[in-house]
Amino acid sequence: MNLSIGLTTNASYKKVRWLATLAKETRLYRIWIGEDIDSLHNIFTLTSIFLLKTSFTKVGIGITSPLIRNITTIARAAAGLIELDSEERFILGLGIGGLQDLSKKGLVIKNPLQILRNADDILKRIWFGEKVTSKEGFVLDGYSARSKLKIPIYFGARGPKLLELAGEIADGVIISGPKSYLEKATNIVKKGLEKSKNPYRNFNIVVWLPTVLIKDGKGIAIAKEVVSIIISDTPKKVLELSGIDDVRIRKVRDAILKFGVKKASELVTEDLIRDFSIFGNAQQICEDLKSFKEFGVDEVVFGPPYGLNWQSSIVNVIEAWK
Amino acid sequence: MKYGLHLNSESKIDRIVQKGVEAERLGLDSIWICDMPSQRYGPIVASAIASRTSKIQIGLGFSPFLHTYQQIVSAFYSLINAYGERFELCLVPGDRNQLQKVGVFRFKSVRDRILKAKVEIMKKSEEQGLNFEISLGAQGPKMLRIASSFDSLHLNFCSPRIIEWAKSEIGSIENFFQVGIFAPSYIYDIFDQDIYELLYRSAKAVILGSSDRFLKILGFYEELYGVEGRPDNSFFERIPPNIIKEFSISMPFKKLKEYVLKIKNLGVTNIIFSYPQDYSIDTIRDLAKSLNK
Repeated sequence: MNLSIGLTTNASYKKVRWLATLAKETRLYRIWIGEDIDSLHNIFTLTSIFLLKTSFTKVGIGITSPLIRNITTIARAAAGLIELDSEERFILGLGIGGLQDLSKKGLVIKNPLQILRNADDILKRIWFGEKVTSKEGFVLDGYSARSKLKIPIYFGARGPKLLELAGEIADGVIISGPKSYLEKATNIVKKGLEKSKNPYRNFNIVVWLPTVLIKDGKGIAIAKEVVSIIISDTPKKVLELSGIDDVRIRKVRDAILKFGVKKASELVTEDLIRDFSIFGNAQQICEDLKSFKEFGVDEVVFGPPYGLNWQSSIVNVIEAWK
Repeated sequence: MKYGLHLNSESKIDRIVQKGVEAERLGLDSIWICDMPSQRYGPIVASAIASRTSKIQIGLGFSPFLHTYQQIVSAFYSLINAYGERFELCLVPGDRNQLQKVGVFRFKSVRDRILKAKVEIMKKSEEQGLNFEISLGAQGPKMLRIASSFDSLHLNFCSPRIIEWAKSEIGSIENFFQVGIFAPSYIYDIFDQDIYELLYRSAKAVILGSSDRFLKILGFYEELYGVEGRPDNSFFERIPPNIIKEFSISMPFKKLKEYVLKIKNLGVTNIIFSYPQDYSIDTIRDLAKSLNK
């Protein structure tokens, strides 16, 4: 099982530079970069910076949405990123995107399953060098990138249908959601994998939950805030399957909409923090993360919000992992 | 006069980087990458070149019809933070045929949209404390009339006659405003017919992508399409050499100085030598030799 570090495109450049150096020094397994829509960094440019400033560490986008930019831009950018080094350290993660972020952009999601299936198919055809025409969804008219590439695609998924689809057609999956759901989620992925044309292919299951290092009892407030945000963005179906009391969830959601994150976080109890995040001291965090191995998880991601002091939190967890 | 080289991003990134490194070593002032659907994603190519160079200015051409304002600004945010303030943005409408192939069909109010993009990008970049110039890539009269709202202008043609016409269309401009040209180029020591063919094709694409109105103003429309007008399909036999010359720079390296002097007198302060000048390391060296670099 591997430990990776995650960050988002909203990270300061100070954090980016520090992480790139740390990755080099510690031979970190992988850095995952999640796209916060319309935030500071450009997801592809930031990924290129990590690839160029490290030499061993793998770098993955986890995830970007095909709904917020032209699909050919994703195809071209991923092609460029895989070309940046001969080790082909890059992985493209695709997902629908945060429900709140998409709705802010006026995007209404009708059939997420079809969107991701379609995006995966079009990207693979473009990279295979095909002249692609597509009349619905992602409209293309004889587009060709004259390439011959194989770029691994992971799906960022939470709902059961997307998890199963990931098992069927993707090269890996990045799962997030309540801990009480993870076992079910990995089983759904495995079901999809069994159904697929090539069930014995290399397939990587990654779990990325918010992680917070607590030191001297400090850090709980950050955990509460991040959990309240995640609760507001978790699909209903996932919450149902986790068996979490719906009334409590609704209270947090309503509070976020009415009063904002800080106020809503006051309603987040310790059992909710436990279910939606990984928290504790470095040793406890690593034990918690390693416990996912029994579900068939291959890789876990530490971050964000990391803890009160993000630098020492990351260093402590990497040390404890050894 | 400042000299730049446009790097075609169809070849593999390591090859493009090699050319960028050579351009810096030879003392060119800038390299340019245009983000188009047929090319590699511009910011990644820029990032790769910037990681191997230290001072050369890197220009990025973007079409706001393909990317949102925030996507453009965020690319500059990442690049400037990682490699310093040596990036410049050129906004262009983009090749309509290529954009239609990737599902971009709305081309109404091109001029207004480009202008809005400039204003929004500038606003967003200022909010993030970013400092980079925004230039306009233009050709026709409508676009030329908004040029003075930008930091500088890149004309998509190169003959002194059309440059003079363009300057009259731009109207009055501030002192700091820079006028440059961006044209298919082939400056050579030993002439190679195959490379000239690439220049011809490149210039032909620019000419066929020009608006009817622009071609009529220049008096080329009838010569190109006859009285029957532009054909529906893009098939076209041969474009007369006199028209090709107006849109491309092709000459033995010893003659370049004379041409540079001519356009310098017209107020041009920046020349970007476009494809196929970047065809090989040798063609880049031929260019540098002609500029005494």
